[in-house]
Amino acid sequence: MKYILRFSLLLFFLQSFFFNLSAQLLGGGEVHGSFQTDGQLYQKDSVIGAESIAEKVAFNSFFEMRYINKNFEAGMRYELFMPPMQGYDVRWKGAGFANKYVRYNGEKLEVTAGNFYEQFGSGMILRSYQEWNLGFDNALNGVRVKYKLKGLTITGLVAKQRFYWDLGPGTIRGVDAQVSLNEVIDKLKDKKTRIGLGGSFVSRYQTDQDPLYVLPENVGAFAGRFEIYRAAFNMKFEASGKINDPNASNNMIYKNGNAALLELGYSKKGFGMTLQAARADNMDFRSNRASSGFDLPISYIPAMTAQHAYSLAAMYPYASQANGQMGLQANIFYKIKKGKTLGGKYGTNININYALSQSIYKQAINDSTYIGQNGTLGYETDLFKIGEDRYYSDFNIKVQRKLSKKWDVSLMFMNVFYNMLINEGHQEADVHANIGIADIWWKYKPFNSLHFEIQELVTQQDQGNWSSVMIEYNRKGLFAAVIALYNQGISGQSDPVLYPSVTTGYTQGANRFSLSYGKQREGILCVGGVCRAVPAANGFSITINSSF
Amino acid sequence: MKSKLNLLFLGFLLSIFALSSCDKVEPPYMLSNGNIISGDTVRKIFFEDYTGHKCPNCPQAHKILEDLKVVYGDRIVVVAIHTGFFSMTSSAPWDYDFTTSDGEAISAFYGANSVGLPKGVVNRKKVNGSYLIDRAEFATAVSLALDSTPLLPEIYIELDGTYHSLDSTISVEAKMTALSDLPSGKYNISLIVTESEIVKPQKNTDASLGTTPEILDYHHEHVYRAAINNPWGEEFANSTISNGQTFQKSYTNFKIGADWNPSQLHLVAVVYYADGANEKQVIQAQQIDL
Repeated sequence: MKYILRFSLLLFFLQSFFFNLSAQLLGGGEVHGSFQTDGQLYQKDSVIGAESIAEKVAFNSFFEMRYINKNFEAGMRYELFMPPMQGYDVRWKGAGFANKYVRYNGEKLEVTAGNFYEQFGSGMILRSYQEWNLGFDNALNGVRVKYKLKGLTITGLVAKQRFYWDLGPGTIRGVDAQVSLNEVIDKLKDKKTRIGLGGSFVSRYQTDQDPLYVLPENVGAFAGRFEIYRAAFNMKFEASGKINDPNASNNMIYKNGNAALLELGYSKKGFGMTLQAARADNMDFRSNRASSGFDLPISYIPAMTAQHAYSLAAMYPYASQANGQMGLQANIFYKIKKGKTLGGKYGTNININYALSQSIYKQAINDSTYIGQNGTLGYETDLFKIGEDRYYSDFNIKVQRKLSKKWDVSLMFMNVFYNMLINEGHQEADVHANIGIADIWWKYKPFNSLHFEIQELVTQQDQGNWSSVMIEYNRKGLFAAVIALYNQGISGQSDPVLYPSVTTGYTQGANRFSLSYGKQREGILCVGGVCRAVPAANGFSITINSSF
Repeated sequence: MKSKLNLLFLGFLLSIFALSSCDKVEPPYMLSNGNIISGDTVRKIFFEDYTGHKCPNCPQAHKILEDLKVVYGDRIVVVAIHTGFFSMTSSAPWDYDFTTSDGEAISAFYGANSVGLPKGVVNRKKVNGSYLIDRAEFATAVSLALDSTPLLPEIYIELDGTYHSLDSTISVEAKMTALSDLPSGKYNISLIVTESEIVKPQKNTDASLGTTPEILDYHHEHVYRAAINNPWGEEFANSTISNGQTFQKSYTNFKIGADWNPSQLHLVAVVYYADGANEKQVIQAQQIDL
C-alpha cells in the first residue's frame, strides 16, 4: 500500500511538471499528452484461485507526449511493466520508450517515420492499434507517406510490427487509396448521395527457412470497399482476399482466404437501425506466420456483437474467429416520445440488439485428405452455406426511462449462447445464460447522486448462477462504490464464492484517480472481439490517468 | 481531369505492386526427404518437447518432430516433458502420471508449466527473445540450429550405457572429446533417461493423426523419465578447453522406475555452457538405446 501511494504521488508530481512545461516553455508549439498507471497488489486467495507474485505489486504504466509546431510533430511514449499485471503477457516485462515518431504534416503530403498506427478501411487486411486494457499493441515501425489530393488520399507504408520490446520478423508493405466520388467528379458535387470508394493492398515478406514446407515468402492481401450515404440511409460493403498463407493459426494450409462485410443503416430522430452481415474464411494474417494469439496480427476481423459494459452481461463475450465465422447483427433503437402512454414524462429509449455467429461450411478437398489437414489446400467451402456449429448468439433488450428530475431507470434483459471450445479453447459444455439487469440513478440533490446496479445471471453451465449488487455514491468528481459479486456455484461441483470489493475515486477535469480493494473474479476481457484472460486477484488496485 | 489521371496512375502503381509481391505456391506443398547426414561426430541438437496427455494440439507437435526426424535423422535428440495443466491426471483413462519432479524443475525454469502447450525449446537457446517456441516455429528453429552452424560440433560425446536386469539399474559412461578450443567457463553434462512406446491415451484435434477428441492407444515417444545426475546435470570442466582434451563421467546403480520398460529406454546426454553469455546453451547432444 505504501508503495502505491508513494508511486502515485511521484506520478502526480511528474504530471504537473509536464503540464506546466507545456504551458510555459514551448513558444509557438503545443504539447499534448496523456498518462496512466494501473497498479495491483496481489494477495494469495485459494478460494477464488488468486495467486500472489514475488514482487507483491505489479504496475503497468505509460506516459505519452506529442509536440506539434506548425507542420511538424514528434511524439514518444514511455511504457513500464514492472512486472506486468497478472493476465498480461509476461513478455511485456520491462520499461522504455516503446513508441517514437516524427511527422511532417503538409497540405498535400504527410510523412511519418518511426512508430505509427494505421487502418485501411475497416481493418480487414491492415489494422495497427493499441489497446492498453488488453495489453495489445501492434504498432508499425517504419515509414508512412500520405498524399492528399482533392477527394483522394493515397497512403503507402513500409514497416515492421512491434513485438513486445522487439520487432516481428516480417516486413509489411501496404498501399491504400480512398476516394470521395463527390469531390472527384464535378457532376456529383452537389448531389445528396455521397459515394466513397477505397482499395488497398498489403504484402508481408518473411523468409522461408522451413525444412518441411515450401512457404510463400511474400503473402499478399487485398481489399476493396464501397460506401454510400443518402439522407437517413447508408450502406457499406467491403470485401477482401489473401493468397496462400500457411501459418500457425490455420494449421499450415495453402487455401486462399477471404472476408466480406455488409452494413445497412437507417437513422432519423428517435429511430435508428443497423443490419450487418459478415463472413471470414482463413483471414488470420500476421507478420510472423508462426505466431498466434495476440502476437503480430496485421488483419483485423472484428466481432460483430454488442460490447457490454455491465459486468455480468460482459461475462461471456465473443472472441472473433478470423479463420472462419459467419455472422449477422441487427440493432434497433427507438425513442417513445414523451407524453405518450408508454413514453412517460421524458420519453423512453428502447434498444434491441441481436447477434449471431456460426461456423463456415467446410468440406474435404478429396477422399484422402482430412478437413484442415496441414500441407494441403485444407478444405472447400461455399460462400452462402452456413456451418453447423454455433459460436455465439446474443439477444438483448434495454429500456431506459427518466422517471423524474431525480430518478432514471434502465432495465436490461439478455440471452446469450457461448461456445466454450471456440471462445475459450476447452471441451466443456456450451453456456446458455439469461441475464437481467436494473440500473437506477437517484439524483437526490444537485451534484449528488446514488447509483444502484443489480444484476443476475442464470445458467446451468460453467460456474452456474451469478448475482451482483452495487451501490455507488457520487458527489461532483468524487465517487465511492461497494460491490458484492456472488457466485452460487453448481451443487456437487463448485462451492459458492463471494467477491466483495470497494472502490473510490476522484475525477477532476482530465485527471482521474481511483483506488479499489477487494476480490476480482477470473474472467475474460474483450475489446472488439480481441480477448484476454483476466486471472482472479485479491488486494488493492489503483488507477491514475490524466491527459493534457 | 487531373484527378482522373492521378487515379489511373495509382491503379497502375497498385497493380505492379500487387503482382510483384505475391508468391503463389504450387503443390506439392511439403518437401521430400533431405539427405540425412549421420555419424557420431556431427552436430546434434537437443529438443525439449513440452507436452501433456490432455493437450489436444500436442499430437501435431509430435508429428512435426517426426517429420523433422525424416529430414535430420538422429541429429535431433528429442525429450518429451509432460508438464502443466495439460499433464494433470484425472479419472481413468487419464490416471497415468507422466510428470516427473526432474522434468518439472526444468519446465518451471522456462515457464513451460504455466503456458499453453505444445511448446518447444531448441538447444536451450532463445529464439526471438524467448526460450519457448510454438509448434509452427519448430521446423525453422531446428533448421537454423542445424543448417546454419558448422557440421562439426565443438564437443563430441561418446556414450555407453548398460541395463542390469538383476537389480533393475543402469550404469553409464560418458566421454567428452573437444573438437575445438572452447573459452574459459563452466561446462555441464546432463544425463537423462527417456522411454518410447508408452501406449496411453492422448487428446487430439487433428483427424489426420488419429481419432478425435482422443486417441486411446497413443504411442508416447521419448518420454522424459528421470535425470541420472540431477535435472541440470553436473559440471565436468571449469576452465578453458583445448582441442583434443577429453573428460569422462561415470554413473552406476541408477534404479529405473517399476513401470518402465527396459527394452524401450534411451539414454540422452547433453553438454552445455553452465555460465557466461551462453549460459544453458547446448553444445552437443547424444542419444543411445539401452
